[in-house]
Amino acid sequence: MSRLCKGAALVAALALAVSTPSQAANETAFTDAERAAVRALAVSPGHTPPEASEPALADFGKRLFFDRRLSGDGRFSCASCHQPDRAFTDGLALPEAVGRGTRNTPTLINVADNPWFQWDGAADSLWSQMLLVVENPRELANDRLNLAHTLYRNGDLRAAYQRRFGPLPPLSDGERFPAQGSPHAAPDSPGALAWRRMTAADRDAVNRVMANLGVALAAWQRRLIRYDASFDRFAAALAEDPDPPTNKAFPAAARRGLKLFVGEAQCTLCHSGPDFSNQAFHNLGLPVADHRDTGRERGLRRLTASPFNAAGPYAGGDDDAERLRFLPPPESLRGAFKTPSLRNVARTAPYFHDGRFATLEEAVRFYLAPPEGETLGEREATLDLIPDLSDRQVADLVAFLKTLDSAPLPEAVTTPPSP
Amino acid sequence: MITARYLPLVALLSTMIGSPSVLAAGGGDAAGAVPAQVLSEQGLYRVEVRQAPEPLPKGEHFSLGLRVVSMDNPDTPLEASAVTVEAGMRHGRDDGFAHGMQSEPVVSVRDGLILVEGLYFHMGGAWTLQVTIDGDDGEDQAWLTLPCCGG
Repeated sequence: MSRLCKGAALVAALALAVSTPSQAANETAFTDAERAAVRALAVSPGHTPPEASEPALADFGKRLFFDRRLSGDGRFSCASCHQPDRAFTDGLALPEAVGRGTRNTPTLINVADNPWFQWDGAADSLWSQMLLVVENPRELANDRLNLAHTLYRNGDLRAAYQRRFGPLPPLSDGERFPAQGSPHAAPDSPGALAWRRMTAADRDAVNRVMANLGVALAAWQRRLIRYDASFDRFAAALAEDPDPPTNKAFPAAARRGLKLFVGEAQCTLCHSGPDFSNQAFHNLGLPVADHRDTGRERGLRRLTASPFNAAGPYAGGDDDAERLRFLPPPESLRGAFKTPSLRNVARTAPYFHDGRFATLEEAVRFYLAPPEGETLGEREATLDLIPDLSDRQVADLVAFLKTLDSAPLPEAVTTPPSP
Repeated sequence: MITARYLPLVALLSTMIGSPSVLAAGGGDAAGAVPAQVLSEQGLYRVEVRQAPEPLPKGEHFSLGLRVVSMDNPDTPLEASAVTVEAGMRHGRDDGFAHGMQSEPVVSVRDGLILVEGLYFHMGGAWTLQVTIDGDDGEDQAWLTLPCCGG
């Protein structure tokens, strides 16, 4: 090495030595704009929904949640896929219940804060979404008449139901209430014909039973609220101090990742608010998978056709029918899926609506180099705002995402009820 | 849910009407206020924003109260049937939207204003409201930049 080069190397080394501490400070100290953006992700006390106001109703909902009698073949319950020890997911790309599902099992933690339910928003209330699961032939594969009869002939369920909702319809009358039937049964199948032969009043009575079961399940799910991740503690500290001390729970990489998340990486365009979701539906230009899932397009069609939507006869006082006036044309959101919450994201792999990404790193890298292939609908150009990121930046984002895990829910909430 | 609390009257300063600085198409900015009024592209119409929430809400439906007049007959507002609206975000594009809203607004008349209900902004930043006017003077479009959403 020449003397000149040696000198240059020395100057560079000195410059590096001098600049390292300030660079480190810049990497982890937060600007006013970044602090404001982090505040927008933090939970205000008024945000957390209250726990179920009727403990007995929530307890009934919990019993239903763990009860395999809700499925058509008696082998599966809600908890089969929404497993409490996996943040209420199943760890699978696609759920395995009566059949193999077509969409990844979402967490139920904080689900009560959602305005739309399921990946396509086919339900506009927590209570009504359960019906989509119960009658989905790939999930619980039951039908509403069979479920009403199950309730009627099992004393424990029947007693719990009637304590809150009053008498069940006279389901012992087999002429009026066939053993099986649903409007969603295959056309011209015995179940579909049985349902159509019932009087409108009797169909309404069975629908009311379904709605009431949904109300009970929703009451229990309102207990699944957690906003106490490492991030929340860091956000609280950051509100007081622009450069709070680093700790093991929120390491330097996570701090850099958070700065990226609210800044350069543009994540908060969609993953905004305390649930890290804008609760909207986006077409990410995902290559078509086996099921050619049209997402929100199908969800809107199912929502508007459902008698259990907020404008229907079974809606309660808290349901918002007004927004149904402004639903967009379904085809305008073909291939769009709901922005999932990122809370507990490290515990809820695999990722995306069809579980196509096994790891957080894979999911983050998708946004940097979208794969090519046939897509449904139009890819949203918002994605073009996301810059290329270095390997270290990807790792920092992943480190930050791992700070969004909440503490376990109380055992009293998650432990199956005794028989 | 749309309620009256989202419809506080935006102070429309009458002294601003006719001000060249305000009468520019594409009024408003991402960080600022809702524009009080804009001229349509060809200068045929003026769109006045008479009612708007302050600030515009994010993640909630809201309404705008508009008054649309022909520049040749500024004392007679146009009917709601002459107006259609669409909103989206440009995200740096010169033309078109990078994405639209996830709601479809409803246009009607209430209290003498053209009421645009069902607007819904699901992202922070500058939204653009495209107002298409098909009146006696012909078809024209006005563009309003709507900031989402406060702070």
